[in-house]
Amino acid sequence: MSETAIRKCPRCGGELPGGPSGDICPRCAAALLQATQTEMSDGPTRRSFTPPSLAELAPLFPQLEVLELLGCGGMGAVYKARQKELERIAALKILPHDVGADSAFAERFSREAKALARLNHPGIVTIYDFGRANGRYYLLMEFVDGVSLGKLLEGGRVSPREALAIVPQICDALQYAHDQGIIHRDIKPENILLDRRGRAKVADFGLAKLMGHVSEPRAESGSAAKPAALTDAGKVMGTPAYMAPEQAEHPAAVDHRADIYALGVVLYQMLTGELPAKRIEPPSSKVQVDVRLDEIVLRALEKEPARRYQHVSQVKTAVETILQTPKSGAPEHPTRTAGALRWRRDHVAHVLLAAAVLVALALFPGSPWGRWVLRQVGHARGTTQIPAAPRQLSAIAARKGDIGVYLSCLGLVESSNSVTFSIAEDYVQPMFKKFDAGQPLPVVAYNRQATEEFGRGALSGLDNQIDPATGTLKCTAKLVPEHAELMLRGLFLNIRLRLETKHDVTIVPAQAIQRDSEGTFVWVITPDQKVTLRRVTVGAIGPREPAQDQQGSRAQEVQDFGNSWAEIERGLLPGEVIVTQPFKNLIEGQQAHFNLEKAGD
Amino acid sequence: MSVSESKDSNQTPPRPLFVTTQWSVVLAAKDKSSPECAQALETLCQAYWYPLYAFVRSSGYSPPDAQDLTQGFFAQLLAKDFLRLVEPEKGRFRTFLKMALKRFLAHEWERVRAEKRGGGQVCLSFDTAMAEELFQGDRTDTLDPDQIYDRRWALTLLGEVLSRLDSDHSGAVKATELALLKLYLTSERGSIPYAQIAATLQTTEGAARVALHRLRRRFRQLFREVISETVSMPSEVEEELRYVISVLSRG
Repeated sequence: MSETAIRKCPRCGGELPGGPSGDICPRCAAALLQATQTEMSDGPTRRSFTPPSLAELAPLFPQLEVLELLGCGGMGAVYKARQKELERIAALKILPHDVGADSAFAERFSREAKALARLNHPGIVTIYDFGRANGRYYLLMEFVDGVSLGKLLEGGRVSPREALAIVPQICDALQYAHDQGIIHRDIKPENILLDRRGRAKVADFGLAKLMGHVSEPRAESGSAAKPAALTDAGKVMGTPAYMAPEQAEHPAAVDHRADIYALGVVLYQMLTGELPAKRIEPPSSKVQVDVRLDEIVLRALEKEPARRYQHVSQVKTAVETILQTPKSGAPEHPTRTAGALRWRRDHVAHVLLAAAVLVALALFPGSPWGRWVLRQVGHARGTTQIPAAPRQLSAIAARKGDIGVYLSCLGLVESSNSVTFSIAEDYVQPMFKKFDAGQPLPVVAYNRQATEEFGRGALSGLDNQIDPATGTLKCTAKLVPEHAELMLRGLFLNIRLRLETKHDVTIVPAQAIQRDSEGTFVWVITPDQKVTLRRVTVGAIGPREPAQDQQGSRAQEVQDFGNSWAEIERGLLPGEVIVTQPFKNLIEGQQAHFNLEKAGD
Repeated sequence: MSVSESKDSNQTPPRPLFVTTQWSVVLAAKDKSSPECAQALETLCQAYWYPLYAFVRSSGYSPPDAQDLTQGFFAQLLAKDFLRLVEPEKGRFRTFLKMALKRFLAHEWERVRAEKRGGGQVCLSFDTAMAEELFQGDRTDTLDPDQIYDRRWALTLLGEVLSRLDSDHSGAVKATELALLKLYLTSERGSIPYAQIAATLQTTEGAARVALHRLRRRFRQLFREVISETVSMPSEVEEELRYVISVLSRG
């Protein structure tokens, strides 16, 4: 194999970059990386394609601001976009180029898309618009801010409770579509999106049919010389693992019961973390779940459509029955606890080890928040330490809503009123060792955006409660009752914790604040300080005795950090440093003045 | 080398979870001067020096200056007092390095350069001739230093993935198989001559299919693994992955 001779990619014709990446073309590698797992399988799926760049799309969609590529698969590429007029975020799906090769496609696309656009259900991703731009078919859809179930399942199975929370929502959406005579045909975890509130939304309705034209064998039966891509697609469209047997055999004869089969596969996968084998093992034989779930799964997975549930609503009813009636015979609680423990054992070491510390992240220059610059340094007992490096460069700014220390970690709902989560020791060490180990540390659990509070608890015994086996610290927080139900229903696995410090009056010793040569003020919070702030202003005030330069001495430069703080408390941690932007107009002899208002004032 | 350690522990295929990585080792280390921490950082630097060189070069420095500066930068980065500035908030290794380099270029290079001329130590050795050859092929006319840096970063990641694929297939037979399959790693589905591959490898067509499928899966898995080694927390993996893919897709 000659490495140096080939400079162009044989596949896409792009130039090869040379160097350590050798003879792999970056564009093609990107396409391969973007391809979904489905395409990786050797099933009859459409090949991946190189998604158009943002620059290529911009002139095609003047009404949109295409923001970023969200993903790319056999069904096309999806971008996050903003509708300029409506100021609404939407998802733009560009279908692969080769679908348009079929002359009958335009008509079919228009017909199908119209039908899909009529679907209006909270559990279905809404189609806003569709059409063709420069030969490329596109769909403009509702943007779902969250994750796909597929992404979630990459980490293994989800808890039975979560699975049962998701399934009825999918059932509702599917039943609605089936009532309108629309079959999804490609139900799979990747097409089930979960928003930040834990609501499920089904995406890509009917796209499989649209792109594979499974229901219209007439259009191609007579044609002997079909383009290769169409032959591929014309046979069967869908994702093999989730496809009902009849869908593979008689794609044209598929009815809504194929969706029920696929839903069965999804449920099986959620419960066991695996796809059903040829000879289906009941979920309860693989993992500890309510045996009544076996019946639901196995019936949905019947090979013969007539033996399956005949309507998705029946699946919903069956699932809800399990949710509402505790398992007869065996006591329910121990089962659940055992399941939860097992879940924890299996996953804590991996998933929960992933607990992460999130400290005030992005820098927004220009905003008051950008000027409120916090830095984390080591202990600064006694004297203040001002690193020599320029502040602005290494600065991490607090953003609105970021309060104190956040831990982003995964939680497990143990019961209807508490949530358990673990924090990796790695993160406990640097962050919490600063606190007195003997004192419990109050924490507040939030949803991901830290807008809703879900629970309160305490971290205690930081030194001795770290489980040496998993390296994690376990914490339990009581759920706020009004959110408990939401929490159980949804997937509030990603929790932010806020460490609360005491509401002490803050007195900043003058010597704690220093000014460096650039005019920046630095205040290091010493370990013995407990600081809670509501409103902070930092100002430079002119000298009492006016100096010769009237203009300069009268100039006051006040940086007000208070505006956005009104509704939040700001807990400062020992060792944190408040750094201001340089006061440009400050003249020699002026004083710096930190005005701190106590929380609750 | 610690790279091979992490590989060995990841032989089981589905492992999308975050493991303790080189970069998080650096970030989490309380004692930044500990040998593990220094080792982890050095491993990272050893792997990702070229994007930095390309950045320096495209910022307008001559090849000799760029070599001095890159080495001087690493010398300082690997020194203890610089590591003190490594903080959990720094996030991605990619952005950390770039930021540190910019700061270095702005303020400290004169001093470091003087030290080096005076016999200062160079902690990291790299192939400057190769670097310059690569840089000549970089699109300095259309990309700015930041873009060149990101592009080279992404390509370096890609190279790292390929070399890990190679070490996966270190046996003679496996190496032959890999050399052949790698040609089709990114090929379109319909265009892969499975029959021909099978004949060359003296196996069945089905087995060739499976082998290529596995190779692709492993490629993706390794990519994620390599990326996860350069971020500080699991939640960043996805985003960084997406970013790197977007850089790669620009070619």
